Amino acid sequence: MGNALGKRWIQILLCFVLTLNLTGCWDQVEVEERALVLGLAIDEAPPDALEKEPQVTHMKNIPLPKKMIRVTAQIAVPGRVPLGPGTGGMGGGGDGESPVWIVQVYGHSLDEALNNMQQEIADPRYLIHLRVIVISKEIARGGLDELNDYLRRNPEVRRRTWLLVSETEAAELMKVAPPLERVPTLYLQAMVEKAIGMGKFPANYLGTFWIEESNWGQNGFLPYIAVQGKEHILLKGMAYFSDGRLAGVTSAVDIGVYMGIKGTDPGGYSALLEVPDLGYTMIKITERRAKTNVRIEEGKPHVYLNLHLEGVLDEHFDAGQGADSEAALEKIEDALERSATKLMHNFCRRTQQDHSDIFGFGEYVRAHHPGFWKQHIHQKSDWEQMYANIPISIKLSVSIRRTGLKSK
Amino acid sequence: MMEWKSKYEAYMKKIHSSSSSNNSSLEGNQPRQLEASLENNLNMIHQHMNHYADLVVRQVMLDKRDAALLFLTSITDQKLIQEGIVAPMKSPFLSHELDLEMGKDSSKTLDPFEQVYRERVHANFGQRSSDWSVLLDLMMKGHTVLLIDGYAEGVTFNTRSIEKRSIEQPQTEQVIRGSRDGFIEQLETNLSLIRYRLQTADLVVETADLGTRSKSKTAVCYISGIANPDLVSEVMRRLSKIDIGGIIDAGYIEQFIEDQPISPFPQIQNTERADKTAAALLEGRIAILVEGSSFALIVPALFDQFFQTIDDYSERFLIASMLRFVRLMALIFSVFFPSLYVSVISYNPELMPTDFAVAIAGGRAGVPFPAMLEVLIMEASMEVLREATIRLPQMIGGALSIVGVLVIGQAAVSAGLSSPITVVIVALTTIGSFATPAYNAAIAMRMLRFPLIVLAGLFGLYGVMIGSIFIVNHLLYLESFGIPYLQSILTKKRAGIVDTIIRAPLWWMGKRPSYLYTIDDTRRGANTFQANFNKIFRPEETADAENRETQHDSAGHRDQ
Amino acid sequence: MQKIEKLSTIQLAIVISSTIFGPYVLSFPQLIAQTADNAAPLMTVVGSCCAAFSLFVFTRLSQRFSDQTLLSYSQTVIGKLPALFANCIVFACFFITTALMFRQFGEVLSTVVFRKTPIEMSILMMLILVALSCRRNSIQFAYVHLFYWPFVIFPLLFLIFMSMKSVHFLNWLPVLGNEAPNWPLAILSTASLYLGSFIITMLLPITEKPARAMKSVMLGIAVSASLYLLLVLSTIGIYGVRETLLLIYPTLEMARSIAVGGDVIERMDALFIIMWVINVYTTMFSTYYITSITFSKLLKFQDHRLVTTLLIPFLFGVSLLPQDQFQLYRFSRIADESSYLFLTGYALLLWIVSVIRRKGGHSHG
Repeated sequence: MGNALGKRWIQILLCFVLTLNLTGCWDQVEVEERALVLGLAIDEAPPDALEKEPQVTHMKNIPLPKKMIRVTAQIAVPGRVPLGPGTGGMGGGGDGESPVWIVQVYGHSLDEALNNMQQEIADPRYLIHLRVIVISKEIARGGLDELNDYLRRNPEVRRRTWLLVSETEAAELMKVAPPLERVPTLYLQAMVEKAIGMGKFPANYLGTFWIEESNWGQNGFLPYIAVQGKEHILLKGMAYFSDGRLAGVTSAVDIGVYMGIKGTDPGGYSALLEVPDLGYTMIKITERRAKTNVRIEEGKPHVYLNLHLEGVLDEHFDAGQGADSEAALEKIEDALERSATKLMHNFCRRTQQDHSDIFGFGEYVRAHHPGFWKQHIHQKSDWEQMYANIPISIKLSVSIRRTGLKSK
Repeated sequence: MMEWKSKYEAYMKKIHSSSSSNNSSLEGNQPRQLEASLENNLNMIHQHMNHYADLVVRQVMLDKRDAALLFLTSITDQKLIQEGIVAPMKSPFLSHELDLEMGKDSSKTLDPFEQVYRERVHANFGQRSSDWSVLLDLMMKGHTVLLIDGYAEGVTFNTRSIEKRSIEQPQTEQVIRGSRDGFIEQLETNLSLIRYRLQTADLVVETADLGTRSKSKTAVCYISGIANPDLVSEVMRRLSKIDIGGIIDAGYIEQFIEDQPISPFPQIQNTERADKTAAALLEGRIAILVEGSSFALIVPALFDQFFQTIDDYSERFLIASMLRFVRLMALIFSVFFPSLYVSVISYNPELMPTDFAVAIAGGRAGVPFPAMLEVLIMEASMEVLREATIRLPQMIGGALSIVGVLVIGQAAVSAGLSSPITVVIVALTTIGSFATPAYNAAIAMRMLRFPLIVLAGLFGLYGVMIGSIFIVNHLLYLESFGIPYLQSILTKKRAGIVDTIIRAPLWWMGKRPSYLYTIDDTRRGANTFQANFNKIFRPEETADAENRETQHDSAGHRDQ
Repeated sequence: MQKIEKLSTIQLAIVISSTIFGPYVLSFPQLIAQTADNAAPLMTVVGSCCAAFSLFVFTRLSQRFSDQTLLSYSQTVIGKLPALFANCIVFACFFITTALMFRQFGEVLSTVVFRKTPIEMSILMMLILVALSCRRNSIQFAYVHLFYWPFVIFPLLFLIFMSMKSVHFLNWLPVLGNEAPNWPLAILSTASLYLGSFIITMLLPITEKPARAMKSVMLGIAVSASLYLLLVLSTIGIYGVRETLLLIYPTLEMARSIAVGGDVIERMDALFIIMWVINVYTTMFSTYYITSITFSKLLKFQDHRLVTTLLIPFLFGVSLLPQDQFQLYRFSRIADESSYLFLTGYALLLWIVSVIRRKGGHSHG
């Protein structure tokens, strides 16, 4: 083989091949040419939606899934969200213009709806900055399988996206424009993120929700929000799931209860309670510690919870006497222990009734008692059924350390 | 006017006559050997060299013999010739010298050349030869040729003197703390600058000529107990292969002796600083200097030397380490930043926080080009601006930089030709690339940015990675005089690492770089390390422990 | 002027460890979770020990013939024709596994980074890069590994470190798994990750101290094995087995979930992919090197450079053979596992036969 000559030919061939491939930068899409979908809202579609749907992915007369959904997307408009402290220099943007564009489409599934949407939008859509997905209660009740499937397969979707369940129509949340944030979806996202920072909600991103739903011994939950007035969004509670569907909603104080049972830090909820002889007090919980123990007794798993809360006295009024001594603090602590334990028991019972083990006690059984698990549980619904009947014992102790600047 | 006319006519005649004859060059016609008769010699010389305007033929009487001195006024020291050569030759001869008859068989008869040289002339001896071309050669280098009637030999004296500029701070390598005398074009001065720093007898300077027409004197310096003999011989071997007409600058030599001419990275370091050269010689490297160039070549040169400066060693080690680190960061920054920017904007906006991504999209909304083109255009204009600024005289230079900033920066953004972020990125990279002390390496890095930007524009971050792997592999395979370019990072012995990213304290750097395979590899006394180590960490063990009252320990306390 | 450079023990360890740690970083947790359920960490450890045993065999064998490569001494040990046949199979093993690795690499890129770029392009670019880098001798081969090793190890350590706070220890229990693990398959699939360690047979001739090679080789494999173990531990710890089974690239998902500095830098997966490219590059570099050296020795060439260039189109062709993702994984599993079994068996055979027939020097204790 003529070494030098052969080498030369190969080099030429390589160069030729390489230059040909320079003709395309296939994946290059400039950032300003992308339609960045920042938020999605998914509702059930009204019955006449079938006519409104353009036939993008199918013809009309093939078997189709029964349900239709309505997807409202919030797309960022390049140029209207200014860089820097709101100078509004480049390319327009006065106060009246919205920095996002709301588009509404119908479809049989999320992917189909997004394709329908693409037919109406010039720029290619990208979900890389999708921060918030809001679904309505009805959709959640119907089951999230299809939604989860699309979101899992798509590599653009982040696991730190928020999935929120809305009490009212989800689309409304896309239109809420509070004055604190330029882009409404980002406000929603900031609200939930900061709630985590303030200890008002556990960090339950979409990814965490998926993990909880995949584990056999656990069920997932999502933040439950509602629109208040025209501009306010209220974090109303938790929406918990069973068998992949929405099973129930809680109130906001139950979030605190949940976090207490799980021992999530930082603490953030405050409790209002009446203490005998001392009047009404508000205690703010600052730290939570929890120890969970599951033992198999009488052929059933028995959950023992050993909880500890630390708090500060925030407010004390209607007082018979001042909160100025250890004894007084002890009284408050006792009162809080009693009322909190009652709250916890109620909450646990509720979740048991709805077959939703959001605490993950099943995972403890699976981890510590694999024999029992193997014997009784062969699929996820087995545990959900069993959870309804297990006894849960709670032992709670509260310590109140400080009372603020006022000495009495 | 008339003079030039006659010159012109004479020249034309000469050309036509020489073309009609055998077309031999002027040089070939010159006889090789001198004749005994002075007159004949001088005639011959006049015939062939009367177009040298600065040639002087000074006839003197040497006892009763005719003698002639030939020299070129432009490169000789006139004072030395008149006072040191001519004047002594004119003074009357003493009796014992009178016997200069040839053939007189007397043991006291000295050769006149010897006599003149030993007893009369106040100049340094050059060479003695009967070969005219040798004498001519030396005369071209500033020697004065002495021809004596009756002898078919000539002798030269070294009277070379060339106007030179004063020693000043090197323009291309400014430091905060370091000496300010840099090399100039004269080899003698340069050697003196090195010699006074290394006053050891081991400093060897080997000189020879290089370049068939320029015959530039080239010096190879090394310290004989330290430098590896293999390295020295390799340098000499490569120098011996240079066959070129003229060496105008040391860079010509560099291009002939380097290992890989195709590589963008320099494999030989060049410096105008004498202290840097002296330090390199102490490490075991070899310096090559050439007459006519104020740059010295230091061989071998590895990658980490290109971001070291001499004031790294003058300053204390903590500060020096931090500064070195900053420089390295600036270097990496300047190579990769534009391509990373292009790839994030065009391929992976998900890496940016959402607000930022949306806002940048806004900033770019009016720009007609894709990010890659935009960055390329801005970078290219920056390069043009940089080139232009080098050539400008000082007065215009200031104004142009302002114009450049305004035009390329603000106006381009306002006109919609580029986005503000791009301008910031380009400016930062340019400034970062100037943080590299070595100009040739800095240029190499700057040029490497462009292929990376193109790759980033085609394939995003993956393209940048492929390009970087290519570059790094090239660096890994590059060798400078047989030593791998990245040796200091790949070294097995720890000793090499102490001088790359960080600069270890001087008392820690005990051994010379191992890759130089030096003969003697200890830099400092055997106890220095322990003594200094103890001074910091274990003060009670130091030898100064007896004098505690006057010594401070490492925490600054005085023992009261 | 330079002395002949040889690899020191540390350098050998680094080369081995960087060769082993390769493209399977992304998908390994899912594979092992499939076969071993919760016992995945345990299976990883056991599989690594098994691979360490194979490496032990390779090293001992090479130490016996410490200045020749496998292809030369195999002929003296078991005769020319069987050795030729076996070496052809060695070549085929590495050829196929390398080609399929390239394809897997392209698949990951196509799924995550390049949605529209044809997979041929990404494979071709990497292939050319690797082939061009292979045109050097062994010492320079080692330099490449030395330089890139920190870039391979430290991002992964960083990733694991950052994800540690999301780990739930409950997910690691029960240690033996809720389902009984499929022992042979799990061990085999773990051990076949270490296929690249065969390179020791070609590197031993250029090592400074062959006698101490065993120590450095074990060090290298220990480093990589512990990294794999950490990886499995953190993936299972964060996601739990059920979720891991649903993820094709769990490590990637882990990278995507990190947020540094509270939302300032999210989505580290693009950065992670970049570090992973270096990782893949070093491994491919090693296996391609083995392939081309084997082939050139088979054809009795002096220099492997021509072979390196010639193999490009063939590797490219083979890498494009599998039609879809699942076929690819099936093929590569079969190829890797059978190659591993064959190589271990072959080395063992050579060793035993050479001891019996008293060929080769004493293995340096």
